[in-house]
Amino acid sequence: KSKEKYRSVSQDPQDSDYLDPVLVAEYSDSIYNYMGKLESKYKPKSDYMDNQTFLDWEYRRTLVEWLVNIHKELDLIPETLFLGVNLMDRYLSKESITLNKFRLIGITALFIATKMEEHKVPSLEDVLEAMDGQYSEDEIIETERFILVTLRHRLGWPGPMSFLRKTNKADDYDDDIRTHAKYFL
Amino acid sequence: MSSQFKQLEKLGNGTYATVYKGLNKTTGVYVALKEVKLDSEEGTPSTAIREISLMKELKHENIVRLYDVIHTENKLTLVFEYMDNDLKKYMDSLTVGNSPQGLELHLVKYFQWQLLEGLAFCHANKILNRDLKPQNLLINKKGQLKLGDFGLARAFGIPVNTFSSEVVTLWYRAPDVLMGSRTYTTSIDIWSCGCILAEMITGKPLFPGTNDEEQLKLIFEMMGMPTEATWPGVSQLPKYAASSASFQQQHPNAALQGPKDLKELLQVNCKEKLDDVVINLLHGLLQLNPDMRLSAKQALHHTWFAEYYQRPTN
Repeated sequence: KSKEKYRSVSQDPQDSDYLDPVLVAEYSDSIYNYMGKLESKYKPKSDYMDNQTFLDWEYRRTLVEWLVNIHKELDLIPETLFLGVNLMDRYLSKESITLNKFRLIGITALFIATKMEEHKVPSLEDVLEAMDGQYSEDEIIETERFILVTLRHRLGWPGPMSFLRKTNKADDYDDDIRTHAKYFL
Repeated sequence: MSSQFKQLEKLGNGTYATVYKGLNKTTGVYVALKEVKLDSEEGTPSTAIREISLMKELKHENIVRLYDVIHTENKLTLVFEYMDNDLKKYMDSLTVGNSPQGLELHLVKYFQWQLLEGLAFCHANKILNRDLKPQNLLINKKGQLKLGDFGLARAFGIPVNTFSSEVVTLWYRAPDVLMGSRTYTTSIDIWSCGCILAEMITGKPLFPGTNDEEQLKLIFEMMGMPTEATWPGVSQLPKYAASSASFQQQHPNAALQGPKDLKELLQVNCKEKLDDVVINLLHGLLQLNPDMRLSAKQALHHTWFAEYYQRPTN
């Protein structure tokens, strides 16, 4: 039932909001450079796992798979998943956590990403339902604040989709989830 | 509220928050404190999350600066650069009796230049403002103008199929958006810039419609009814057929269908003599066809601004 609401949001590559080539061509170079800057500015540390006592890459892989499923369940756009994982990795580059908090960090990062990227942001209730309610609303809301404060509210990571679109190869949205999973592994 | 700031009088209500004047107790500098109540159901509002992350990246003289964010359990406070006034209030303050007054043309030019500078920076940083209007243009006693309130802004290049057509206050909304186009981009902000330029000249809003239909009618009466010849693809827009039919009905006499002489119309409400150069720029910004509108960067190179770009900048 809750999924019905987001039907209209699922993307149709034939009908998406492509940049108007005439107008934006002029800004194209500067936008591309700027995206490059943001991309490296907001890159997580590649070795952050070394500082995590309770986590390892295998746990992360399982967690990302779990997020992929929730993402699918909620019928979200690819950008949201990419950004959510970026936020999680960036948070973990700064804070070490215990294993029992891992899912909470992951799902909250995804929740924040929906607020940045989705046209119709799913309600927290829907998110909780999709993950079988392991955490309370309050826990998620509190964690949301921790993550935002830790990342100093800097969420402007452009993500691979922006680059993909830039190179005009964005026709291939169909394999969405599978492609994503592959990307992260 | 953190003890660093003293909260002073209320300045107004933003799109999703209340704004107060504040004093930084350590530095003695005034700030604008935008307070967002946190929802106990949904946490931090997405508008706030978007505005903050956009503003954190946008550092430009003509964009109001976000200094800091204070995020507590119940409240999110955005600490912005303080500006004395906004363009709407400033223009209102010039009204004599019941008649609005335009700004002096040299000031119009300086404000418009700064507006376009700020906007060009947004566009180059892949940000659409989407809600440009005099209320959102902040000014100070030094004559500086800065874009404020990015509550509705968002990064473009995000494939949301339905960019909401509810964005942009009606009077400054582009005809393509009014007719239901969902593929708009930077050109939507440019239309608003054109409306604002005309309003600064005369002191009166250019197209003060009260609903979508009337808004389109006012635009077409002034600029002429677009056709496939003047705007390829226009007839495909969802509301074109209906608006075209009602326009023909209201104006059966083709001679009265416009376009009208913009210079003549604006001159009536402007004390100084308008030249063709500024009217030419206005036409460039107010093209019905979004593909034909100037970009902010192009507009900054318009002859009207020669006195600015001919002297070394940056």
